[in-house]
Amino acid sequence: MNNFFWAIAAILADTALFASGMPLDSSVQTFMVVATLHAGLSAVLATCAFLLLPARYRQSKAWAWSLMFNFAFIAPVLGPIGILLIIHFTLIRKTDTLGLAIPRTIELPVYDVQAHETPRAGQGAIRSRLTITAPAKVRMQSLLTLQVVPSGVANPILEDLLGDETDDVRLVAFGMLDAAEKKLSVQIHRTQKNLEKTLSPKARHDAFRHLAELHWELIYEALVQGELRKHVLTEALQCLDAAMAIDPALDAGLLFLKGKILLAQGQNPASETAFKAAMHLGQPKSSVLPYLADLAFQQRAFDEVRAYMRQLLPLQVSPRTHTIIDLWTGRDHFQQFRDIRILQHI
Amino acid sequence: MTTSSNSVTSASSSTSEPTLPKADSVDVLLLLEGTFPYVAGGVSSWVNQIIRAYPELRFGAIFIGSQPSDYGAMRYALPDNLVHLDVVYLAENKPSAKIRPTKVKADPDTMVQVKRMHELFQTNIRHPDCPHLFSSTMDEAHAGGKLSHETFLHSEAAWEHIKDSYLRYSTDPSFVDYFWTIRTIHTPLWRLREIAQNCPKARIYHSVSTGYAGVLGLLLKHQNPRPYILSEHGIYVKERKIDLYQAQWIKDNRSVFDHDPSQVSYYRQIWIRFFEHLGYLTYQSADHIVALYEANRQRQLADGAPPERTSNIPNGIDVERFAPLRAIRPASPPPILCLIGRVVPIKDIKTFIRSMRSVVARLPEAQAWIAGPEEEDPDYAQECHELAERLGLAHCIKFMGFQKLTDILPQVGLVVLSSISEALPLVILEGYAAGVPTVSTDVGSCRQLVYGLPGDDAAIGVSGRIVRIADPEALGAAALELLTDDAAWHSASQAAIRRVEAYYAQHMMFDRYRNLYTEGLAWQA
Repeated sequence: MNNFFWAIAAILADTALFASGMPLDSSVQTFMVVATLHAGLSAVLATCAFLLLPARYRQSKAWAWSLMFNFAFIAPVLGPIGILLIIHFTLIRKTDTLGLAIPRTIELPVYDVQAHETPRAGQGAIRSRLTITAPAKVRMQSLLTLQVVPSGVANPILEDLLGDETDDVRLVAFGMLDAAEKKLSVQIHRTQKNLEKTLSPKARHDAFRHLAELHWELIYEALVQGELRKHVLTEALQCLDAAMAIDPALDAGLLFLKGKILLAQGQNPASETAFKAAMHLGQPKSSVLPYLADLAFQQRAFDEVRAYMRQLLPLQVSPRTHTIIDLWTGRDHFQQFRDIRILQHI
Repeated sequence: MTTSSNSVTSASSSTSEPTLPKADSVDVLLLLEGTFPYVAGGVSSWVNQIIRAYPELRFGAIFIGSQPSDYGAMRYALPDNLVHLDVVYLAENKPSAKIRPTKVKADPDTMVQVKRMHELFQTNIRHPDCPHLFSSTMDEAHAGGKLSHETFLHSEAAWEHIKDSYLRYSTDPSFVDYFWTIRTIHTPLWRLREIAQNCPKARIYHSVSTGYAGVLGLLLKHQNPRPYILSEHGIYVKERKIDLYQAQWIKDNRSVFDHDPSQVSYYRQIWIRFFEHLGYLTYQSADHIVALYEANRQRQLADGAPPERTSNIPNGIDVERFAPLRAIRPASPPPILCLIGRVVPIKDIKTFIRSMRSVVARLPEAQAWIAGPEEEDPDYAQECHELAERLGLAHCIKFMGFQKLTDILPQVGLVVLSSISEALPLVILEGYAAGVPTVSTDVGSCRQLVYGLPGDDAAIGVSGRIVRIADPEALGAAALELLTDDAAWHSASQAAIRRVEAYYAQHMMFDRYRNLYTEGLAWQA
């Protein structure tokens, strides 16, 4: 409370100064004395008032102190009294409430798109309606439905239809796959052309990153196979390394992509390192852990698989992944025939 | 494309257009849509072959194109016995004449007929009245006729009919799009009627496709009853349908609530139905419907061709011209895969380029030659160049442009065909005649060309390999299988020679067509 008394004292002194008649004197010398004394008393008052302020108002020290000083200096006596009244009533509030008011950062939930089930538009149903025994019209309708099915699901079906006996079906399937491939190829070509220009390091980094992602998309959408797939994976990795060389600051997204490319290339240890690094840098666990579990499974390290599955348990994952987690963590209950059917695809 | 005929000219070599020959009458009037003499390709080569095979006959030809800018110079030297050639464009933008707005009145009886015809098209195209209704309606579709183009464009009755049809059938909400779709689809019919009116007299009409050329044949036969032969290489309706299923320019205005992805948009349906109807009407009008092989004949039957008028006449080539090339071939197959054809999407050149990744992985010295013109679809050609570059294959893929087959065939190990659609490709036969086996996609009659038809043909042996379309891995593997196994390659080469000599020599095809022409000419004698 000392500050409060010092503030009262400063106000009283200031009142006395203005009541003394000195301000009525027209000489410059007296004016300078009054102004200096008033400024000094205002500074004392501003300091006391500042120290009495709740902590959340003291975040910008200079600005808060200047505000108090200006109140005191510009409106002598009345200004400081107003400040003290406000401070007084503010201090009545409990201090613990004031403490809670200090803003702090809280963690937001991460929405992981990969953890959500892809709408599959009845993949099995479409396949069954595309069998050679179905009437031609039904087959063509089912084929056209694939235009709105995610390409990762539709493309393998379309790929099968390239060998269909009916010309129309075969050629429409080809047209759809070709269009999907062309869309990516055009973007790859455009990005490569862009890289031939003089670009800032950031723009070059972004272009290489985009190229790596586009190449990976060719793999993900099952648009390349065999030797071509190997070539595209190599290209994707080269682009990724080029992006990382430009900006060595580690990036969770790039490392995660690198892990997936390396895994597709069969470079399992390097892939595992990349995945772990990505997770360490903030890549959602729900995306990375299934890959790590997969790698562990390939090494026949089943305890490790189980450990990863336990880590996945509290996370938001797709229903399909959940089924696998349940199996590995012993939470599965195959009492219903339906459940057994779900697991057959694993 | 590269072709066996000496008469084919490189696009760049043509500097000036010859004056088109004109005659008042011809023996055979060929009706050609988008082929000879302005587009190089299998069908064009076949037309050229046919005209030259019968020097005693006077041929005429009507070339039907979309618009002049789509075609370059003539790609073939015109044979001497081609005495008449008309070049007509269906989508040509003619400067519109100044017209005074006048009220156009439609003849009520004609409109009743038009309505009945459309009713039948909608409900039962196979009704026996359909072909007759179409022909008699088209009789009036000329300037001054009861159903002139003016009547279609500007009469209130036509407007009402379009409006009624929209309300009755359209599942797409936009009337504006409906109106313009109907106008665009129908307008070429008046142009065809005008062409038919100005054609020289002929003793036989012979079209090489259905579609617009087919309808022209129908109109010509209707106005001058003479035998009408239809030779289909591919199946026109099927090819149009596939194009239309994927066309991006056709609008679909269905809202998110109406949109059913499994239902083809209404305007797409209209376009598809239009070509189906043209195909059906052409089949009803033709006296002889010729397919290149049985699967295509079956397709024609399914599309409404009367079975008794159909037959198969396979393509044939001049085997003697290629036979000497066998002697100058190296003893072992050179590691050169050659795709002979135009650089256009239907040839799926990209799959061939992609297949080279597997080929060079095992056979680094292998080369891919792409021998064919690139002018027809420069964008696609550019994409192919870029793909080769991107896949790191630029060093082993050569885009050679137009080439003479007799020059390149002795140097190659395989003729590769990666097409997504073919009928009976001449290039495979030409390769066979030079002793070069093939690796081809399973399209058209390629399986028949490689494995032979059951019986004596199949007993000859396998003259190459067949793979699925758009499968670069399989294409590359099949090519490697032949190129890296001398015994397999020589066995395929021998089978190829024997097969082409036994079943695909051009004299066999000429004999069959001579019979058809003789029969047609005798019919009038």
